[in-house]
Amino acid sequence: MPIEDIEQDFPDLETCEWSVTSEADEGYNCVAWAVHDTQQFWDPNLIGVRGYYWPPGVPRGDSLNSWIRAFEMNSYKVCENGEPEPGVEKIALYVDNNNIPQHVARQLPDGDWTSKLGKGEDIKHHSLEGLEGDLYGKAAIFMMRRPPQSA
Amino acid sequence: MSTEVMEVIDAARHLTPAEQREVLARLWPEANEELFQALAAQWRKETRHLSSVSQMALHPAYQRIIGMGEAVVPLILSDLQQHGGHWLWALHAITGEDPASPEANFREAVQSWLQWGREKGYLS
Repeated sequence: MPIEDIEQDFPDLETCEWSVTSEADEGYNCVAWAVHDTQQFWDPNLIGVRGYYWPPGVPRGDSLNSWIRAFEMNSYKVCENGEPEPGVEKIALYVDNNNIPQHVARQLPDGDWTSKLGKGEDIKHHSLEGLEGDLYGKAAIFMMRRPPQSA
Repeated sequence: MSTEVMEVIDAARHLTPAEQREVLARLWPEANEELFQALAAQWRKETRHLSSVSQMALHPAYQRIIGMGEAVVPLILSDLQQHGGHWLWALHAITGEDPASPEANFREAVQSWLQWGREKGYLS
């Protein structure tokens, strides 16, 4: 996907340092990438067609509570902010004006963030604000965990 | 308007809208393909950075493609084969089938649909 497509959809990226860190891959999405999974496309799958993954036991829905529960099943818990802390991995959930989650970014050890842009590329971005806007809303909910040893 | 077209229109009056679409697609496949390609391009562009399958599938262009019915299945499968894409809901909605295994991930499900398409004669 051309960089121009990314810049068109996320105009605020020009306010921060960012770079593409993978090729486009429609086999996984931002929710999967947040838990280091590149083999599944995580989705509540309200449609019921096969090929999509949602953690067993988590209510199927596009609500913020469903997403939070999905991450809690992967050892995350809600925290106050996205400030980097030693020995801790954080994620930031973006929500739209109706509080519906649209995207999740994962914090890197150096304090920057990594995001899988839907079906497209992974990018590294210095600030969360770079992806805020009409498409993803605002980074509003933060969660943290001890990073898994295999990550 | 040609005599042929008028005869087709007259004969199709008693058909349901879905049946009429099928007839038109079979008689003028080029127009059907042009419409599909235009809608597919619009859908890909406007959903390229979305992560939600529901949002992708509820896009108006995607819904119009589903509305084109069975005649568009070969076009969807060909597009899936060439370009990939989250077409699984459309295929399932139109055909009522789901050839992927319950444990399949997205890539595996795509391969199952392409194999299904070959078995049904939609793909060579």
